[in-house]
Amino acid sequence: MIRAGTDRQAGFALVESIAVLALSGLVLLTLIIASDLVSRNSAAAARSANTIEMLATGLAAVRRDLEGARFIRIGANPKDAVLFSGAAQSVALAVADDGTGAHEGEGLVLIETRASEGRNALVRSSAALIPGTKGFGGAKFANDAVLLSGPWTYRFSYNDPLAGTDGWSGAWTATDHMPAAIRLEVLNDSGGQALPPLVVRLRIDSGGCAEPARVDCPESAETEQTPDPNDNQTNDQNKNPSRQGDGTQQ
Amino acid sequence: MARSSDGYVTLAVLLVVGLLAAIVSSILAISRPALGLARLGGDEVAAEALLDGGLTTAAFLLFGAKQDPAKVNKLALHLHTGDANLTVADEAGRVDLNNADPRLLEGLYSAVGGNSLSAQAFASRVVDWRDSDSDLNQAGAEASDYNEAGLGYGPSNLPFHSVDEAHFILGLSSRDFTKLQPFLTVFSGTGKIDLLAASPTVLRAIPGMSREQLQQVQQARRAGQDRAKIAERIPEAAEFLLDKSSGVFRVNVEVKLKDGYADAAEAVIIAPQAEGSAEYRTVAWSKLAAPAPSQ
Repeated sequence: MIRAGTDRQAGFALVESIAVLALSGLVLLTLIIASDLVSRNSAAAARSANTIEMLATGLAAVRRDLEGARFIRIGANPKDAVLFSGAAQSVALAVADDGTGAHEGEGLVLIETRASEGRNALVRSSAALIPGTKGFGGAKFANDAVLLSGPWTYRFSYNDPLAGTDGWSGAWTATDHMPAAIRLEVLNDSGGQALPPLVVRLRIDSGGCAEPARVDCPESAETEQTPDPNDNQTNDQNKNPSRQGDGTQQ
Repeated sequence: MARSSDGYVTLAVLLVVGLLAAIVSSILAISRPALGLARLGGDEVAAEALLDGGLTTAAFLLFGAKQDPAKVNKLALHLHTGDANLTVADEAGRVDLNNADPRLLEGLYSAVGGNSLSAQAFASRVVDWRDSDSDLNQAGAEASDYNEAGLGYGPSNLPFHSVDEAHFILGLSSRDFTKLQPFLTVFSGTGKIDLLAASPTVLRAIPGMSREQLQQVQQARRAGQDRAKIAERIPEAAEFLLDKSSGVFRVNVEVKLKDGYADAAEAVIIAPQAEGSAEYRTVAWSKLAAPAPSQ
């Protein structure tokens, strides 16, 4: 009786073990299928994350340059041009430091779209800012660095603080002031946004007291009249009152 | 037999749980960099907002509420995303390259221990750079001198647009420029010095300032005396001293988020041109190295 009971228990344990093995196999199979799906999706997500990371890194470099823009007027007249140029495919500006270490002091930066082998690259190049620079034409841009490269097109647009409510335009035509903000869109083949556009507000909105004929500063306002650029003597006296009779002039 | 089957079931359950844990871990490991990047991006945005908030607050207090800069200086703002610490100084604490008297420029060059030029040559070359004529000051340098030195540029005959431009002055070494840079500005709009904001080096640069007077000025500042009271101690330097704030301020904003992320920026802001206007002007802005994380 006892033996018969033990045999039944042994038989039940065998069935139980087979059932567990079958269930385990089923679960393992499901897990393998699930893990395969997860790994494929993860790989796709990782590729997508890498693309976004690459875009983010490139856009961060653009943002750094645009935020560091300097307001430099190239003449003595308040209507003279500011050292800035913007088109739909490129932007050129003066910055405090071009970040290359190739030369000290301020520099010029050009960020432009270049096409090669079916891919569009957003390339940054820089040049030294030499005194007397009147524009970007004569600058020797070098130190090319590819910020973004891929099946995208890049489009800059500019916000004019003096141009009403919808001040965004594809090219910067004003010469005597700088845009309030710059937008960079990365577009895919279908013309859609590859990611939300980068909008950078330019931090510096004036050349300040250093700008000729500005009256931003209290003392300048008291002492400086709007100068006639041809009237050097008046301008000189205003800028350097101590010059007269200070004994340093030959 | 029942005991051994129990062990087998336990083993199977453990195996399944282990596999599930491995899958969850791998998913987390894959998504971790993306999560970190997203968090960093969020921190940057929050820090940017705090930097902007700090600067705007400083501008409001200085220009809108017309508070004493000394009270705004060292102000700490505690917001729900983090803290912003403000450091405010009147820009007339620096020597203005475009407006300073040559004697003040000479004094500064001597005070920083410049040696690549004589003090007079430095001052004259600054004046020759910024004035609109081509007349040579004594020991100065005009376009022909730069040409003779083989340089592809000459003085702009315009005000300096930035302190960095002084780097191009003929004969001024990079070492001397680096020494001078922290004490120079192009934004104060005045050739005079604000005694309340000037560093000891700039105070030493004021013509006629003796060592004893320098100590007296510093003591008077610590005692909280006003400009006029302090200026009485150095009557011979009156022509170099500002009797009121220049209205131009250098604001340093350091931010620290709740999670320890830190950032810093420095800006020079100018009072609104129109009385009552809320629009202040930012004439210089630069990111600084982030402050060390708090322990």
